[in-house]
Amino acid sequence: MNKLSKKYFFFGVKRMLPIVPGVVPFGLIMGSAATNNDLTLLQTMGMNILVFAGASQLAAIELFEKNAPAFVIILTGIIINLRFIMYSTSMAPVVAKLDPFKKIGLAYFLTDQSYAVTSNEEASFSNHNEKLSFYFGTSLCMFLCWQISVFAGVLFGNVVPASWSLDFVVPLAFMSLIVPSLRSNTIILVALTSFCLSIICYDLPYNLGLIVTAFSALGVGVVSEVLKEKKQLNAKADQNE
Amino acid sequence: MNNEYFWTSIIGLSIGTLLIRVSFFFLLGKIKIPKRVERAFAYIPAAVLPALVGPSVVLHKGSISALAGHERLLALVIATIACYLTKSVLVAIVTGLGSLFLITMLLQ
Repeated sequence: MNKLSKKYFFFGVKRMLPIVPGVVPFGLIMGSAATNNDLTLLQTMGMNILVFAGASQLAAIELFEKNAPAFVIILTGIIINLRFIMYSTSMAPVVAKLDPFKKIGLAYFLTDQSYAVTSNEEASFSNHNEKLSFYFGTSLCMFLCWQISVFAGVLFGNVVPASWSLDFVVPLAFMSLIVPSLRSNTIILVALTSFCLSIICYDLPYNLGLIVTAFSALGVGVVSEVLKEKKQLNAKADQNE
Repeated sequence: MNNEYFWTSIIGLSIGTLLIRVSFFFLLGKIKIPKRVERAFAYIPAAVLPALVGPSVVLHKGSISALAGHERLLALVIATIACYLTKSVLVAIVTGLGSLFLITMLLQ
């Protein structure tokens, strides 16, 4: 591997900065939620470093509170994190020539934020090394930001006055991840299905609500795409007649 | 928190998550993914993330009786529109927290 480009590394850090105000409150909430649910500092930071995926960690904390079975906690978290598969396919060409250890290391850093910022800047890269350097910059920035803000959340609790409703930042953060990608009718349909079903399925036994919701919404997306394709094929056939 | 229960769940979750992240870093070029499956990948965030928003906003019991306790839902709608128009995380969060704060202040 060529040496990483310092210029692109810091370019990545710079592009990450506007995202930080969304990450820090999320981290504070995470840290204070963990403490409120009687997780020790070692447990909180251990989870934070091992998993390093906030959405699934918050879901896990909520499920711990409800005493859900371990397999439900694992499966729910895995489904929440299944979206990383898309990021993995998209970043794979960039790391193709690296050795396995570096691949695993770089994969560990894949997050919504670092992926979104990197793919937004796609036009500025003329080779894989530049993109990799940029991605590494966004990743380290994200990692430090997240670990420090969760740690601060554990130490100081939720220091922000309750009237600010800072915990509302969590759904807002998820919303802001998904809204910019609502480009086709099918994706909007999938998102609306997921939103509505999650409320209906909230009280399912064994806390299986999220699992059922995610697969149903995905199913709706696939079916609607197949129907759309069929319609297009039929239209084409009609034209040819 | 019970240590064994906690670490079983967390280690399972962390291994699963790392496997997902690393998957195509090793599979690229080794397996051929059908186009349809690849397109289904693109739906995953839309199938999962709104499900994390729904219950925490809609089932949240607020304090504004004029909105039947649904002030967070109203703030979410406002923030979603702002986010759709600007594509900015920062705008989404500031609008969301700001409108919730204002709604609470004005209607309480």
